Amino acid sequence: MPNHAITAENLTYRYGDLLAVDHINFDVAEGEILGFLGPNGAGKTTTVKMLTGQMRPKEGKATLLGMDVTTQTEKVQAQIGVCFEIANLYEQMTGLENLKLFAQLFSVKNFDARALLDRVGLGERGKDRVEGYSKGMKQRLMVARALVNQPRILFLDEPTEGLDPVSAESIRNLILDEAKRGVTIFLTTHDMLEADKLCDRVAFIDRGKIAVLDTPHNLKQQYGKRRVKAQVTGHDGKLENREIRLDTDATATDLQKLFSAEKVITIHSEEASLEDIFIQITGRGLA
Amino acid sequence: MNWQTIPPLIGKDLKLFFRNRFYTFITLVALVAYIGVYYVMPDRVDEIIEVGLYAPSTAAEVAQMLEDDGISFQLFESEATLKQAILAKEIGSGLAFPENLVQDVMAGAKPTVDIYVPSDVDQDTQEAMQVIVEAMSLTLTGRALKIDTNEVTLGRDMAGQQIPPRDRMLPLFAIIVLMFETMGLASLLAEEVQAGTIRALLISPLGTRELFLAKGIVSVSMVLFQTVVLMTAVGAMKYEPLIILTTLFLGALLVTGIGFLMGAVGKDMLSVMAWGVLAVILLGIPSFGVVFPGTMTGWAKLIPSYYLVDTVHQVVNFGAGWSQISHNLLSLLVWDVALLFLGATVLKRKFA
Repeated sequence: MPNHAITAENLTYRYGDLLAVDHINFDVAEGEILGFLGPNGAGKTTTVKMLTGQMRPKEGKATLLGMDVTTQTEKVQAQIGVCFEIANLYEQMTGLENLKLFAQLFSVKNFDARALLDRVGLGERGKDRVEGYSKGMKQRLMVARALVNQPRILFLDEPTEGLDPVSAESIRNLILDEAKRGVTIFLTTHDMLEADKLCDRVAFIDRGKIAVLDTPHNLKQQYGKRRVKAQVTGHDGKLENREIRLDTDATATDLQKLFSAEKVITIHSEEASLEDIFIQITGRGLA
Repeated sequence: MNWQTIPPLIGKDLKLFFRNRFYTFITLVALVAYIGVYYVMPDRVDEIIEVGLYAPSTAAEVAQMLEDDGISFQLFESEATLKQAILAKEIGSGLAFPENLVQDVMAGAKPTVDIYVPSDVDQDTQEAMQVIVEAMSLTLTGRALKIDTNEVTLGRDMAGQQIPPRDRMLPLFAIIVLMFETMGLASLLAEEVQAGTIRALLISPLGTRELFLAKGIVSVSMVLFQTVVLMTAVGAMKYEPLIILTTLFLGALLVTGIGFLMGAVGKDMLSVMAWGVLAVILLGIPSFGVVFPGTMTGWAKLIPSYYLVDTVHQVVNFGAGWSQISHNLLSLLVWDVALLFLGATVLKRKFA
């Protein structure tokens, strides 16, 4: 049985009469990347706030690395790194100064800010004030700041939201590097493709409840409809679309018929996306 | 309490304060300006009333006789030149006596004496001019009032030792310096909340206690440093420096509490400034009682800065010692505790 880095037991939070997080239960194994997916207002951020000690649960309990977040908040916070969705850096300070400040707060000995900046591709801009950074650079600095204390658990809230492809890819690589190092990653995102690429398991949260939690592969197996899409030339010479389900008894016959009876121009297989599955399960999209 | 987290926070706040060009500039300019204004203002109180006089028959003699009573006369050759001088603000007010004043009075007639005052003259000066006319008439006609007068001074007799305007302004300057620095602190707090950096801080091994302590140390140090510079530059520290230092320290704590409150209610630098101006006006009210004696009644004691202002005023201008101002310092301390507690509580709720 794997050691659990994160355990949520009946975790609940209410804003007045509104039940934002409704008795959710889940575990995250050490070194695992868990994607926490859901639309705005589903309860993602509130869950993260409870897990990181920013909010006390109204009911239930969160345990990180065996420590109760509510009663051992400071000890827990010393072991985690959090990257917020919105850049919250000291803009009047340089990138180096921002990292050094947090290294001092975490009492990190022999902290090499330059090396960390190099890892996120900001080595050359370390001495510049953050106010002059682009959005992607700020986001990379945020990720670097979350890594200052060499956390065992990393919480990332929409780390690639609105970034250019290069910056987004650099952050994704960083996440994978950290996971290889054994860091547990709790990734909150809207981006289903990103979740699919990075996460070992994904949890769909909707209206404060976890609708489903499994590996992307299993979810696709269970909920997805694999199919082949082809473009063929019709009798009048115009292009027509053909679609064949892959998991039926007639699949082989249908494919054979397609190639023998029609002139196939293009053909490709198509898997169900996590977004399709999310809609199928929750009945609504992520927007 | 995680003491290790406090020095880096203090360093960070000082760095951010001095990197805010507006606050750095305003801090330096204001300090220099207050010291400059202090030295530009009169360092003595002029108790002589200067009056223009046109009295063709016996002017010089009468003027000479009355000048000992705190009145200085400037003689004019004609009524027209007197009026011109008043209009040109060369002299505050003037009197024009008729040519045959003595003869008319002796003959039982009722001559008219013209009193010239500018349109913006205050009631006290108008009344003083009436009194001067009566005194001059009595002197000129030789008829004295058959009464004795007995002047009784209530409270501290300040005759001959009036407080110069610039020393009356000192408590006001101190309040303004205190509040301006506090606006800087409040602004830093509001910006922490606005920019969300407070969330990043509070997710580190740093608690709200450490955060408030670090912010408080920065605020008190900055405020104390500047007010001490101001008081030293204007020579106020030569009177009971320990009392002044203690008072300023308690004042710095007071405005830090107010700064916490402003930081909690302010959303950004602009709203902090708006709240700050309101606070400066409110806290400045007791100092107006020092600048304009008699304008303040007992209700001023409800304003926490009263105890700061009164202590500085009593020590600098009247040489008061510990025994005379200890009740003020105690009241100030009570206000400090109340406002710091309130400010920290409100701020904590905002951070939560």
